[in-house]
Order: sequence, then structure tokens, then C-alpha cells
Amino acid sequence: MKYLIFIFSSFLFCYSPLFAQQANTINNVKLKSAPSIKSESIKVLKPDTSVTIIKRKGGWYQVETSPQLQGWLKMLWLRYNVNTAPKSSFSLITQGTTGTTVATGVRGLSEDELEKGQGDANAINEIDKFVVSAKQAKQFAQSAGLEQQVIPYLTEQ
Amino acid sequence: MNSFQNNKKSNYRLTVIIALLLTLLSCKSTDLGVIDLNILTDTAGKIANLGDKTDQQETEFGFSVAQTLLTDSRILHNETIQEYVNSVGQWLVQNSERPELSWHFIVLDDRSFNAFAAPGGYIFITAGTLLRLNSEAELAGVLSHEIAHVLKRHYLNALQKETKLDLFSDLSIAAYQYNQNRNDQSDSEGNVVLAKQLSGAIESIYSNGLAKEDELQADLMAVVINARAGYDPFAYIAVLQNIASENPDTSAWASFTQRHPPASDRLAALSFVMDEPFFNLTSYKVLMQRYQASIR
Repeated sequence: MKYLIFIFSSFLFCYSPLFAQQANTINNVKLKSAPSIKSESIKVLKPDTSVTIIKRKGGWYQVETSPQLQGWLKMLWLRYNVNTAPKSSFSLITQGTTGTTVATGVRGLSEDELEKGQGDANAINEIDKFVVSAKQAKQFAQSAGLEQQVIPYLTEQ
Repeated sequence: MNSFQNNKKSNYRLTVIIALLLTLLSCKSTDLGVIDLNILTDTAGKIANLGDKTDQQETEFGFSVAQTLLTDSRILHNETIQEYVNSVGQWLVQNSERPELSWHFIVLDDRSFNAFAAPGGYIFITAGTLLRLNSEAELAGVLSHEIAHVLKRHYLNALQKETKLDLFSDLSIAAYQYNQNRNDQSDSEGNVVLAKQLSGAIESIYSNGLAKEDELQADLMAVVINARAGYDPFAYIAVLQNIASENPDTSAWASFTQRHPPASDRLAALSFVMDEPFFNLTSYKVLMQRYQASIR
């Protein structure tokens, strides 16, 4: 049943070119056959090559570039095209079963909700009630399978 | 209307009295000489050596700054969302070097894209930001960035630099007096001057933003805090890429743009360091569905 629901929702969330993010390369970059440095290079793309992002996996985007050439690029070698028209939300990137993410539509907190609240001098006294304990936070993390990692801070280069 | 104002005023007074008591209490224990403040002449020394004592004063000072910021904005009245954001935030700080601070995560009723922090562990994020993010990992990235500002005391140091006041002692008096002035109370001229300095500093720091080095340092720390907590660190890169693609002059982005270095510069700084530590790890979570279910 769960599987069926997933298949159904996959259809709902199936990416469409309408929402897919356009981007440009910022360097000479190798289009790879898989999201790994070790994978085969398909082609070298020149700086400012236009691509369409299909999905993300870790630090890689699967992209399509004309004419109908697909492959993987490191996400940091791409910049999204600047929006000329104002938009109310980012294009959504949704997560599939394989840890990859795909582009999709808009959701959420209705804009109407944002009209309520009032500036309040006592607001500072309200915020304590939202605080969760360290123990609750740990349960919250475990329930989603978040695993702690030991990683030192990065140094600037 | 009158009764509302009176009520407001008496609540102000209560807050001011509590702030005064806290200030007096902290002064007294300092005078008892738990640590000899005279030995420590430079600010950095004070921060490094005072430990818990400093944390408490930082929290008290942060309370005043947060109170000021909150008086000028609105809390989002949605407990589910507030608790969800606190859960993510509290989990992140459990993976930081200052988990014991009194952390608060506050969603503001504001359509624009923005997030900022106050000393002592007050993290603010607008509802407009939540609407524009796509997953819990992206939210975690934005919160981690603000958490880093608190961990490194960026706002505290910036406020001190701007006011040229002594850390904590002068600042806490100024904060107290500043809040009192907002209620048309009077006090000695010297304190009024302090309060004006602080008031100007808060306005300046929170409209112009922190130094570029502070922002870049917070970015570098954000990806690591995210990863330590099990969230996909590259989700934060996706957020910055989205920010870089926004028209910076629209009303939703003007304030954020004013406060931050260009997102393209931030991405460039990150591009040199992201490869090695993160690319081979596989257990990271994005958690898009939980995010959507919680924000909806």
C-alpha cells in the first residue's frame, strides 16, 4: 500500500519542464555519466552553457543540455538564472526514494496567514513556550533517521 | 485603547524591573571576585576566560536585544510551526560547541526572506523564508548559519564595536536604559547617552548586516553543523543558489540584500572547500516530506 501511495505521489510530484530550474555553467566543466568524480566524462561544457536541472543528489545536479544530452555536474559549478519576474515561492525540489531530489510545484503556509499577528511588547515572554528540550530534539531527530556525524569545521582557503 | 496602553506600560515596567534585578545580581557576583576582571584587559580575553559567567551575561544582554527586535516585528501565531522550527534548531545546537545556551528559535510573521540572530541564542527566521525553502535540510542550513553567528558572538562583537562600549558592563546598562527609554522613563544623562548609542547600534547592525568575513565564516560553519546533525550539507548550497537567482531589489529581498554579501560571492567561497569532507558520505537526510507536512 505504501508503495502504491509512493507511485501515485511520484506522478503528482513528477517534475515538469515548467518548474525545472534553468542554470548556467561558470567554468569549463566535465559533464559526467554518474554523480561521481570517477565516473566517465561525457563532454566538456564551456562556461555559460545553459542547462536544465532535473534533480540533485548530494553535491551533484543531473542536468540536460541541448541537444538532449543528459549527465551530472557538480552543483557548485552552476548558477541559477536570475528571476526577472517576481515569484511567490522557490521551485520545489522534492526527494525521491533514492536520496535524489526532483523539481516540482508550490505548497505551504497560506499567504493569508501572514497577515495576522501584531507587534507586541510582551512577545519576548511568549517565546519560551515554543522551546523544546535537548531530549525532545534528539527524539525528533531519531524519528527521521538523522544520524550524528563527527566532522571538524572547515578552514577558509 | 487607554487600558491597553496602561497594560502595555505596566508590562514594560515589569520587564524593566526584572532586567534591573538581573543586572544588579550579575554586578554583585562580579564584585565578589569570582574572577578578577582587572586581570583581563582585552575583550577577547574576557570572552575566552569567563566561561559560564559570560554566557549568562550574554544571554541577559541578548534578551534585551531580542526584546527590541521583537517589539518592531510580529511573532507568527502558529504553535505547530514554532515548535517544529525549535525542534530542528535545538537538534542543530546539540551538534554545536555551545548546546547549553538558552536557545530560542522564533518565526516572525513577515513575508520577506530574512533570518538573523541576537546574542545569547535568539534566532529569528521569517515565515516568508519558510515559504521559500523546500526541505528540512534547507531550513537546517539557514538556522545553522544563524547559530554560527551566535557561536562566534558576531552580533555581540559588532554591537560592542559599533557602540565602542565595554562588553557586558556598559552594554547591559545601555540595554536596560534603552528599554526604559522606549517607555518614556527617565534616568541619569550618562545612561541616556549609553542607551542612545545602543539604540543606534542595533538599528545600524540589523539594517546593514554583519561584516562580510562574519557571513563567510557562518557559511563555512553552517554546512558542517548541518552535516554533523545528519542533514544534507548541499541543501544549504541549493538555498544560496536560489538566493543568487532572486531579483535583489524586490521588496521581499531588499532587506536581506542590504544585510548580506552577494550570494554568488558566498557560493564562490564555499566552492573551494565543499568537495573533500562531504562528497563520499551517504547517510544524509533532506526530509522534504516532513518539512512540507510541518509547514503546511
